[in-house]
Amino acid sequence: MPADATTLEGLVALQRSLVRAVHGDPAAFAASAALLGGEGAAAAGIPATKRLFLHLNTIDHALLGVLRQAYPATARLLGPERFATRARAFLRAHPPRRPQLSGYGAGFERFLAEAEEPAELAGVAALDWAAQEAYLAADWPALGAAGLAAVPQERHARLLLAPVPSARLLALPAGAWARWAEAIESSTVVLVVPGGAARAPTSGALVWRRPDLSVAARPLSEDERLCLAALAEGRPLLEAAAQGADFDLAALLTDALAGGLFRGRPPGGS
Amino acid sequence: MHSAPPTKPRAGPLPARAGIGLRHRHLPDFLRGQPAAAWLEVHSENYLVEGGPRLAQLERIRADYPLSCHGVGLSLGSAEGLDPAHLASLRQLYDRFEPGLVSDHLSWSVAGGVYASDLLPLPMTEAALEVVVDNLDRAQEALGRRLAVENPSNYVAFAASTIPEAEFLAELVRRTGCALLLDVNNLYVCRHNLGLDPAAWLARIPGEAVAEIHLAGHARLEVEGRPLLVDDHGSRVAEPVWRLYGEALRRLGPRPTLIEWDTALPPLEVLLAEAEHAQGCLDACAARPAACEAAHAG
Repeated sequence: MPADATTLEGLVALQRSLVRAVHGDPAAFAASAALLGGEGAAAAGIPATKRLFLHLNTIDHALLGVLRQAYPATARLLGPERFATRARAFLRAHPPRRPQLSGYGAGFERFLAEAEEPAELAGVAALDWAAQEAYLAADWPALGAAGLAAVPQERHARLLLAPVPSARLLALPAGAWARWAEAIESSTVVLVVPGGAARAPTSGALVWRRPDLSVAARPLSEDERLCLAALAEGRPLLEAAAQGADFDLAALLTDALAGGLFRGRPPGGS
Repeated sequence: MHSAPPTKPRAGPLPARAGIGLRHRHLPDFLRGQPAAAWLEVHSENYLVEGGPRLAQLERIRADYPLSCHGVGLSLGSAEGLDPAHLASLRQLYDRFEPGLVSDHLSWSVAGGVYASDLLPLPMTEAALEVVVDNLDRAQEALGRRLAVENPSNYVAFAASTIPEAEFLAELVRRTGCALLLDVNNLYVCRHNLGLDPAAWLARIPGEAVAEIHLAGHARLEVEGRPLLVDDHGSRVAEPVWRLYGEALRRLGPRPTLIEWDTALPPLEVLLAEAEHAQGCLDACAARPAACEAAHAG
């Protein structure tokens, strides 16, 4: 029960109760409504609970919208009602901690998996979130063909090719990439069709933001993903390439360089 | 935000003209051309990101328009204080874009480490006043700027409240030197929902502190057969709100005025037409203060 709102301690208690109330805690809702009064004019006669419910409804509506925007393919595949049910359960269990709502929704893919949605769908959600993170990540100049050409050939094997801050490498359950690629809109993410010869099965993905600020995604085989993961860990190109024999390194690097995947020199850097 | 291009100083007060809120759907209009808005306002928290298109687009548009940054997440009424990380992020944003005005609300949204994505009401008590004064002092120092505080739209009031809202705001101005953002629609919504007297409210606030005015549409809900007004920013400004705006201008003189529209967003032309309407009121007020009310009497 919130304390006397005329003291600082009471105000702290009132606000902690009210914030739980508007996130759907029934006991806190009843306790908070009991502190309301001051009805006037035309709204007199509308119970405090009904008026307080407006805030709960506004918050639900706003946060469901935030999650729907962050997880567009997931929402499309689940359908409006099932997505709303899952999203509402997520926000009850994991309300936002900060007002930067573009960062709200991390962990929804784990939540779906725990809710016993198919693993494929959790993979779709992981791809959605990677695209959201890539869209908002820090800027960094990309290494272009000219930058690479400036590196003497004999040093290529020892090259350190760090991905730009927006890059996300994902290991995916079977079928997730194909479902996501079908459901995601081309205006949101550019799907890169891998170049090169016949490929091993897709078991992961690379999602990143290109220099033109568009978000791109490329399916990866297991060996391709291990190679890029090794580069991201700071291992030299030759070592990263040795992660697997079953992939076309030249095709992977061509796609990566064309899409500005690797870091160039930062502004003012040496 | 290390990749911010060098910017020349461009801070300066907002013009006492009509601007509009810049919303994502209208970005292409501003990136393709230069629509006739006197100035633009953005929600600060939408731009608290590390990089990417949002900041790049705002950088480009900022070169052509005076800018106001309107926060929704400072939580000035939080009894547990402000989030230093949030303040630091806002400072970085404001230093980069140099808005002519920064603002937030007389409300709160964070308690016990949980954020409610709404502007929650404060009991109008001495304890709450102390909290907001302390938070405002801290925020203005951390941001290096004067903040304008917006009057809220409320649906509930607390039985413990003892200070009229206008006096609460006046005291904030006196103790912290903050500015005020007068939301005329909120004033009208509170008049209807809670019996607030707009004329008395306008008479009690320090008019010289009003740095910006907001205008927006509201929705009318029927709850148990009684009407409740909801500040949804989803329609044209209602006629009684235009009249109240005229009264405010008569008392205050011309002030930078914003058309806010957030839900059911129409084409940009509709917002610009609303801004043109507000500009007509501002022009009439500048030419002949007494004309402001007359312009909307009929």
